[in-house]
Amino acid sequence: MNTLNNTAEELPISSYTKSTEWVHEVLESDQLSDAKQHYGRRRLSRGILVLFWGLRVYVAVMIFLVVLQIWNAFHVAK
Amino acid sequence: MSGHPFQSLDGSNRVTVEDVKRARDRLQVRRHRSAGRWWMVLWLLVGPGILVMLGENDGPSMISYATTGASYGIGFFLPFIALTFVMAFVVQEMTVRLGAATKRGHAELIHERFGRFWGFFAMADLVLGNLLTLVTEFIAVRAGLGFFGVPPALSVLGAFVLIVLIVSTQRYWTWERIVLSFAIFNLLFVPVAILAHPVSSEVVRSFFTWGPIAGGVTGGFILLIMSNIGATVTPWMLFFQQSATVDKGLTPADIRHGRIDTALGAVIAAVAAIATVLATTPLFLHHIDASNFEGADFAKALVPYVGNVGATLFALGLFEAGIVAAITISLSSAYAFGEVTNRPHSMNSSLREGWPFYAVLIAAAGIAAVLVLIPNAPLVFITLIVNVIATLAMPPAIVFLLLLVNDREIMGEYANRGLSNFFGIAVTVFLILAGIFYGIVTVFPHLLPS
Repeated sequence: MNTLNNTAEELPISSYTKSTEWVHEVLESDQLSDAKQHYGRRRLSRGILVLFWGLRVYVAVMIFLVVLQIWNAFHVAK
Repeated sequence: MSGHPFQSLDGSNRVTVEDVKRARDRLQVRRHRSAGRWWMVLWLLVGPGILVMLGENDGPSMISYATTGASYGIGFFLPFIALTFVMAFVVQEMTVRLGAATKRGHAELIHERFGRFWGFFAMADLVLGNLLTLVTEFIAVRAGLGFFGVPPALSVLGAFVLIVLIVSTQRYWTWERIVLSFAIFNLLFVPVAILAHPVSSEVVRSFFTWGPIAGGVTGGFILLIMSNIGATVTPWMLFFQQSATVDKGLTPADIRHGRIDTALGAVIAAVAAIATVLATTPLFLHHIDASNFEGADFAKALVPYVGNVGATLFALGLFEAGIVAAITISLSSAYAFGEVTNRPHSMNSSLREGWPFYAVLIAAAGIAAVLVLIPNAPLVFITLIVNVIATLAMPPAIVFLLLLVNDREIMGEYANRGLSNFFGIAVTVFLILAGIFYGIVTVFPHLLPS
């Protein structure tokens, strides 16, 4: 008897109290919502650190441009 | 975190309602794959790619394509639009691999690998940009249904109720299939294009000659190119497709189908986009000034050339573009929120388990809907700034995408290699530069030649 298929097809979800083995068999371990392990922080090379500082500068400039555009748009919309 | 845990026999990892629903879907894939029914496997696995591409053909995009057709007719922009979808495929394919290999969403990976600051920045930036974009989607819904005389309040509230109903299925598979059935109506612009009777030989010639360019290379032409490039891939697309890939339960074994799904989406979306350009070429040929047209204006202006049927289809297409984008964009906000705050974030979550996720999704759509209905709300103001925010927010998102997809610690054998990195980096750099340029010239328009 194919317990795996019968469990999945014939029983409503609320009845899955007897066995969840089939879920463990079907899903990969890190697909289980409660079982994910964190990868941890990536070690950043010097190049990527420089890139991130560039991104920080970019974000600051981006915020300035957006505020400026909001200011321009405010006057156009008036 | 889990509201309805199911205890496994040996007391090991708890299994949630979300896990059980996802496992059910995966069991179907496994069964058909074992039986060699490739067509069923493909049917089961398509979804995120098609939805993200057709979601990107949102209200403002379709209006942009309509404006392009009305301003430039058949010529340069037909092959150019096709090229933009090729670039979109290159970028979006990376999100499929990321999601399938790591089983984590985009915001989740940024948060885990690069820290809290960048994780929360990515999420906040996305949610804010999405909120403003959602306003433009509800404007498109209002415009589309306004053609049929539907009062704005009824069309916007009706669209919001529809979004809530679809979300309430609490089942990723059901949600996906319902939205796909809406999204396919993006092809409504194809019969409108046929009714516009474009000259086939001119259409074919434009793909070989990339011309003509009506009016020559002007500041307006450059701006339209930059805005089209900048709108090719927007941040929500990266977050949505990767998270939906994870929510759907794709694994590395499904990457090939994920690529097919993304390619299918790009082709369908490109066909719809090009059809929209062709649909409005009668306005170009008859020298109708459509520069200030809004959504429903196009439908009304097309009546003499494509008939009432064509105009009706155009308006319905606009409604579809707005509603599908509203659904997918609000979901991308909810995914990012759940991933960064470490809460359940799945369309398979029960209401009890995932109430913050559903609350963010519904709130995102609800706030945008309310804004559209407020009398004298600054909608023009929002429309003017949303493009700038979306294009300027793209570079950080796409830089993180490239860093993550090249991270061999998490990607293993699925990391970018030589050729994929070449195309990935080339497209990324091109999109970043175009986006920055567009953002700058929008804020400082005098920099462009008149």
